[in-house]
Amino acid sequence: MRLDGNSTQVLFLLMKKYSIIHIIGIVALILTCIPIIYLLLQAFRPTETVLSNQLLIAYIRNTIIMILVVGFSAGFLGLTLAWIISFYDFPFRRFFKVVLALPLAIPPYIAAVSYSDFMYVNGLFPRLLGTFGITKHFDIMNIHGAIFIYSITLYPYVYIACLSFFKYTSASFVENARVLKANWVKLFSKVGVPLARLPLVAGLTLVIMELVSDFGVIDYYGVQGFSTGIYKIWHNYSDFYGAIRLSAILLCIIFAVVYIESFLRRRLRYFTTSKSKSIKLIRVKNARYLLIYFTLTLIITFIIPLIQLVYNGIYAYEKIWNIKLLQVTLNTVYYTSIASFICVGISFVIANYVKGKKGIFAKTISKLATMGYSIPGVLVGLSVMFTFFDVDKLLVPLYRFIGIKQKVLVLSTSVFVFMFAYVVRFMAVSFNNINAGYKKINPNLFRASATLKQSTSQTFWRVDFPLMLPTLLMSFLLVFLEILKELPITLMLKPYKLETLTGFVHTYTHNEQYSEASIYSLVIILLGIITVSLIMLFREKKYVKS
Amino acid sequence: MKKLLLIFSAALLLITGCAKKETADTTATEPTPTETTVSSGDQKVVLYTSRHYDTDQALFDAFKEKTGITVEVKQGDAKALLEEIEQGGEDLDADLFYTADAGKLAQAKEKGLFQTIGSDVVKSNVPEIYRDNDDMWTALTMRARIIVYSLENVDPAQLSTYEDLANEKWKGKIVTRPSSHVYNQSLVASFIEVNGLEETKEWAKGLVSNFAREPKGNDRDQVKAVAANEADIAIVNSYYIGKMITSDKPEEKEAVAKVGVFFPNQETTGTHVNVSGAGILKSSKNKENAVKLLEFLSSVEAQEQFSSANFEFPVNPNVEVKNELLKSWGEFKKQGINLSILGENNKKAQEIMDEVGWK
Amino acid sequence: MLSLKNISFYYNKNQMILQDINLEVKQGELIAILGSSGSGKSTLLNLVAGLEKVSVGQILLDQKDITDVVCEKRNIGMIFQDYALFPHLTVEKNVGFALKSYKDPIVDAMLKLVKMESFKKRYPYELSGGEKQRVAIARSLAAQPKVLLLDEPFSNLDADLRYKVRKEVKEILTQANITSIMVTHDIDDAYDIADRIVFLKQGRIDRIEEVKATKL
Repeated sequence: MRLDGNSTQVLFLLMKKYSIIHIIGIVALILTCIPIIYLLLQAFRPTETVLSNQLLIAYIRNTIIMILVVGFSAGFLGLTLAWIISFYDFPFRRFFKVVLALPLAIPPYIAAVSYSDFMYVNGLFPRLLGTFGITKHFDIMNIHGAIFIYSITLYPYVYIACLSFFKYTSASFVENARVLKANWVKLFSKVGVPLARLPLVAGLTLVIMELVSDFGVIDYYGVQGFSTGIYKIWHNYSDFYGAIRLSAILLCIIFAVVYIESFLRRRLRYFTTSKSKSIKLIRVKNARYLLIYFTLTLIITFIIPLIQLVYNGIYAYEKIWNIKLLQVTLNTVYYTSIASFICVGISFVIANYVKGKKGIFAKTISKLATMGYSIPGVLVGLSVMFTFFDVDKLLVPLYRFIGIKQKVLVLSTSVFVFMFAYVVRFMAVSFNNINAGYKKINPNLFRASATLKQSTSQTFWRVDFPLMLPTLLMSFLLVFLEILKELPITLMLKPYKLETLTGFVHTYTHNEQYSEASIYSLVIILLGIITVSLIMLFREKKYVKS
Repeated sequence: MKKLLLIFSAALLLITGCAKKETADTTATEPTPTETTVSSGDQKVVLYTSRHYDTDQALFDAFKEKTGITVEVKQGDAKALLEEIEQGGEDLDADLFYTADAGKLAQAKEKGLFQTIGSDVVKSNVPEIYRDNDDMWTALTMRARIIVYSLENVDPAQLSTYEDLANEKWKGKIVTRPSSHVYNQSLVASFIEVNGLEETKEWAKGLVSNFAREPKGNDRDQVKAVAANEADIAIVNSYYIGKMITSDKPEEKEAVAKVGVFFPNQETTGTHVNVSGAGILKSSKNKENAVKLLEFLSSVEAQEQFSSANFEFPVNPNVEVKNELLKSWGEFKKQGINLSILGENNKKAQEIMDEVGWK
Repeated sequence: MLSLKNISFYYNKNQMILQDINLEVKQGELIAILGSSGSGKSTLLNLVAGLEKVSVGQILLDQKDITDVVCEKRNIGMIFQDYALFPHLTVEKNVGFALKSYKDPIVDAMLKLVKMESFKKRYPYELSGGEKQRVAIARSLAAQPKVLLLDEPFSNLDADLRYKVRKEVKEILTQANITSIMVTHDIDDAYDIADRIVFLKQGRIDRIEEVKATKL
């Protein structure tokens, strides 16, 4: 890494023009985009296989159906629950507020396996019916079942987004509407729905991205979706680049949708009033139906899969429940925390860089950086790995120079790449959250800091950081939850000795030993429950923005 | 600024902290290829595997006990592992590729990822038909893809061959898992070899039209479907039956008690078998150790383990099967084809399955 | 001491936001820039502060060209319309923000100047509009800028308070003897406390008027 005079000068000019924190932001942004760009570029490689149009159309049709129905049901569930909890008062309100977010702790694939077990012949549900003299079982392994599973495991994205949005914004709207004596249906449809467009879109974007990138549920349920096509081309036709091309097409579609959506949203103005003291909750006189709705939702989305897992786990309890499980759990918490920390840190500097930029470049490239969330994890893992194979080959002279002999794949086999792959995959979760957090902060504060002689980096630590701290913690928890549930990247890039919870779930489900897998799944869910509870109980500092 | 540096370096330290341990381990244990005399201290062999059995790990532990060589296992999806091996090339720290499908092994050979094993011990342990022609890989265990039938609805006298399952009399009575799974791909691939392309296509078409439901779930789910009278016949791998019989879950025991096991094509071409096997990678830096591991896994001692704990058939003919279930199934006639064919025909098989609508 | 020479500003050339602005500001002077909304008056302040870059022209401060100097190095303070107090910091920490430590005696001096000594430990959300205003001024002055810019400083106050605060501000500024530019759309604000008034119309200076009337 020798620099001649010229490049030193360029570097110096660069340092002068941009602050260090911005340079870190740019570098992080570009780094995150590289694997995604790599993926897009690979898509242009010539490949032989073409899936028949008929198949492709079936895949696309099924995926679109799933997106639409899951989008609607997850949106409906998330929005109505958040709406009622934000503005109405009824017994057990605070309890429900937390527990309704808990399904987020259950990986969709695990929910899928548990539910089909629960409903099928000899399952708990048919046996329960049996005690009433009804012999009936249900086969939910089909597209309806898949839609159901995605809806119940993904709706909390919408729910949480709506909850935190309602907390800040809409008191005046709702209060005005209430003064006008609108009934609750009108209040919800005329005020709630239009008002919640922003969090609804944000939540649904995550839902859809996760849905299209998932393969586990639809493979198990035998549903032919777009990701089936990606896997089929790769696994069955051995055409890796064909698979990448297909996922690049998907990527472009998602990218276009996200871009158009944010473009349209630009024209909308939101009145983010500062929180008026505290919203007076509307007392619900007869809460019976409300409680039935909430309890049913809780049972269906969370309790049932949990019961099934506990039931399965009982059989393997003694085999697995030992010190090793504790060790694996601690390992998992350790690496997940570090990875989440890095992910949030990188998202933060990128968001800081993007926030002041009006130009189209920064916006576009930051959108691109979040696209990893809609690519199947295994492809993200491989493209990160391959990108760094190439980087390593470039850096060989450097490695020799600093005394690493023989070894070529230094970076790509390091923990760095393991962690970095998570960043590429989950950028959408942390970046979008942090970006939304930035929008809540009065931009004049940053400008005021500049007029008070603070450089961008100083402002970053003295203004951005303390004000964003709650948002950062929140993002940390959200990413933690994602990495906790993540499988393909973990499996592919983890150091050989690192034993993880998802690794064991994979081993045992692959082996069709569901009892053993259930114990590990339960530990994941338990950690998830703790994380989700922290998210929901999290209180922001009481100062209100000026 | 100071704070920034502090946090940054703290994070870096944390990362490199766990990274360093790793690299220290590997550099310490990595012998240079020329060093042949081995003091069996911290020797290792890196195994890329798509198999996930506890029993495998038990064997690796036994191997370590015996030779002092640590088996570093990297588990993963076979395809993903192969991509990594291919892209990483010579630089990758990987010695062996171990997977549960002969087709995949053949593909790895075709891509030039293997080197010759060159071990007389392996050759004497494993019969020629279970080894690659060019000594690039060897099978270690075997499983049969068999017919499971409903004891209630099917008289086993009605059963004869896989080919017969395309007969109209089975309309709406057969279940199996999706075509995305390699077990079914290899089944069809073997048929292309045995019966020819056209006949296989006709057969697959007939089979699909006899499906009781859209293919879904895994092999155990197929058995459960037969037990639930949703279908009369399922095509599944042999060792799952053993696992269900010994399952902790009463539901699985109940389900498997309602079905019978049938080895098809005994009078004709033989039951379809597939193998788990391994080959030594070109990138191997611990070839000696890799050879030792293969020799160990094909030895009588290890082969007994495969059959008794995991219900797989041993490939070493000297092993006396002690497992009661396997014993009760007795000897059976196997498809006599060269297993490399499974890899060669994989793509054609896939095309056929897509064409006839085997989802 | 502050001169604006041929300043123009635009995002694209067909849409000039400011055009050919020439202005000389004398030491200790308080200039009001008066214009309707959309006249470009806030943009002008941002250009002087360095929060936006001029498209054409030069800004000189004490004969030095500061056109390309970044905001934090210009030594020009600014009071924002919404005061932009840091919500996570107490009054004294806000005021001491530009200083090495909030225990610096300047903080006390400034708080005394704006008569806010007893509010030291309060947080911004505990203050009224007028109090926030004073803290904002103290905070800017503590950085000891050469020029102070005020963006619609009275627009968030109701009418009766406005008159009182206006006087207080003028008094503080005079005491501090600081050169100031204030942007307003309210003609009373301008006449009441400014030394000169610049009338801005559609991005151009319409006229400049001396205010001779005795004030206070």
